[in-house]
Amino acid sequence: MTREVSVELQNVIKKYGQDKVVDQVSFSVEKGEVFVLIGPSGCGKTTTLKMINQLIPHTSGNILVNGTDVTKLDVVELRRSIGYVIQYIGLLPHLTIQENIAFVLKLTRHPKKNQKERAEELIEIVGLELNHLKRYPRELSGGQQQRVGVARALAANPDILLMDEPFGAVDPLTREQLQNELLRLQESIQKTIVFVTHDMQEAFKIGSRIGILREGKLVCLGSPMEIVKSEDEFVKNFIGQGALFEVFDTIPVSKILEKNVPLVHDNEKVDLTAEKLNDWENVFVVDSDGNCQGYIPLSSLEKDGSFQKDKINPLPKATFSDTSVKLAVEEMLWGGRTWLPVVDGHSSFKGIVQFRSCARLLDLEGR
Amino acid sequence: MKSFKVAVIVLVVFMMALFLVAGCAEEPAVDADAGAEEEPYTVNLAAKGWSENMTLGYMAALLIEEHTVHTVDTSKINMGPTEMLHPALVEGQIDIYPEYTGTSWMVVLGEEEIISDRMEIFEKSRDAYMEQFDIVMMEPIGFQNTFAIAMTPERVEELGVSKLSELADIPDLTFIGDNTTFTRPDLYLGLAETYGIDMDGINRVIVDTSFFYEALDQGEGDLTTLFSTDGRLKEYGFVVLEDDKNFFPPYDAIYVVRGEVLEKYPSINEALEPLLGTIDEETMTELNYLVEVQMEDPEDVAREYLESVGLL
Repeated sequence: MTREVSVELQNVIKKYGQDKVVDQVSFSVEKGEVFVLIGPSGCGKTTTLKMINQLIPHTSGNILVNGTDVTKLDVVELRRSIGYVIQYIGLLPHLTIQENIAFVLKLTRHPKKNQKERAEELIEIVGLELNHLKRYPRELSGGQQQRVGVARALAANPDILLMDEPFGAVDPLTREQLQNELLRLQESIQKTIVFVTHDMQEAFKIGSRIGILREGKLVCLGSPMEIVKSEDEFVKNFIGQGALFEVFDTIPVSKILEKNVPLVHDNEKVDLTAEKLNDWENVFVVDSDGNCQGYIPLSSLEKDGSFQKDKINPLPKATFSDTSVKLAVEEMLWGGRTWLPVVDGHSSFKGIVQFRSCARLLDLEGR
Repeated sequence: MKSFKVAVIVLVVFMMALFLVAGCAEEPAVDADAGAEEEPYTVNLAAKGWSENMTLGYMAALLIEEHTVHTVDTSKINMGPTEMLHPALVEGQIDIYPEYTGTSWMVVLGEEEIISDRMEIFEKSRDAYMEQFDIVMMEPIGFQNTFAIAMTPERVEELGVSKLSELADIPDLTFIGDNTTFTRPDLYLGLAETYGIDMDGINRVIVDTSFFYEALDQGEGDLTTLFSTDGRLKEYGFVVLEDDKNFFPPYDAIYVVRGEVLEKYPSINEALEPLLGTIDEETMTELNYLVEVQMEDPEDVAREYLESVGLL
């Protein structure tokens, strides 16, 4: 299934004099994805970002936004149609948050009668309370102000957002909250986001795909798992040790859920001829409502496949299907187990996650 | 603004007809409450061709049009630098434009005396403008847009500098600027003299003023001038070197207006007064950001701002 491409760079070069700060960079960003640009200081990631909305004009190559060459677009329309979020929030200090948002809405010629609703909508989208609208910028924390910055960038409803280290100036806890907020936001509004950061953890957490730049060149491009599997020495050094677990921390166990576990109802016998049983050590017992009562090792079954109720082992503490693989592995280690049952939000048994399935993740493409 | 011209012409013709009927060709008397008696005049407003100055220009234009009988011709809003604006003001080709006290003192008046006090430089400039040119320098708008010398944090660490006086000891520096920065007395030339830097010994990188910050960020040079309320400055994390010998004067933003015009039309003064002293650096920087980065029209930004603070 081909997805629409929102932003595309083709052999883009940026030169200052003879110095190539961006050197033949090519990539495309699909509609609705979060594409992260990362690399060491001076690698050209911010320059690359700023060429998309032409804050910096490129020297050669093509940059396309929604299929159109940016140099053929009116720069004012281009600039206004792409949201741009940096660390600087730039709120007018003597206006309330509501007035600040209204200011931007008025400039975008938003219909006057809808401005109040739109301001409220935007505030809620970024995870702030309605009563924040009446406050002045100085009354808000750094993290709250940054959320307002995102709200203002979304005011004109751009399809594309460019973000340049927007969470760099806040403390790690706030940064984590803002990252979570961004992910949550993406679930509902699905913007195409190009995000620059120097923080690899942040890249793994929020990026659907990551591009690693070095001295102006794109040296690695792929999903977090693909990046982690890279053989390139520079990339391995750059992402550092423990990167695999950082990626595991961003993958929910639902990705490696074993749904097809052998099940037996509490009043039935196990069919010992079933081929499926060859791959399993345990059978899971469910009642008439589908709730899992526990499990029985195959070795504890009678010769005819029946079992005694007292042979049913209680389920170990379950993990939720949205728990990260990293946390699930930790739980297994703490419990001395190699598997855990998985339940959904309603505590319904969904299957199990096994330690050995983590290896399967290394073969998966994309997330 | 031009759409008002038709109205003005009609009004003037009408008034001329009235005068003929009354058999009177005298100018109306000007006194304290002349607001109602002022003859509509087209104020020629100009500004330097960059965001902040144009936004300030439009603010004045909007206030005058809203609160007086006069109209404003803003066709020269992109006129040029001080070197063009000041003579045009003196000669009456334009009536008003936004300027900065430091520039008035050093560039227009050619004064060499270093004054670091904002109020002092304003008062001395204001008095000299009145005396020499019959130009009124109105009260400061409320913020300074100062020059400063900036380096990237990396370069500052590499060179181990924090003050301008330390630059003289560093060989082979590269300065980024445009023609103005290399010729204005209150920029590199004067700076070099005060700090003992040999201008023949430094390298020059000449780029358009809109690329100063980018060029510095990319390491094309060691330092550049920065304008403290630039919107685009916010994209970077530059370090400002301390002006330890107080070379740069204060640069308070002010409107300079032909004395003759204010005398004849005091309502213009009244229209602008409520704005003076109310805009701080933070506010001006944000308005500049909207124009420079978001590419909003300076007139729109000026209007939205005045509306948001209840002046329009």
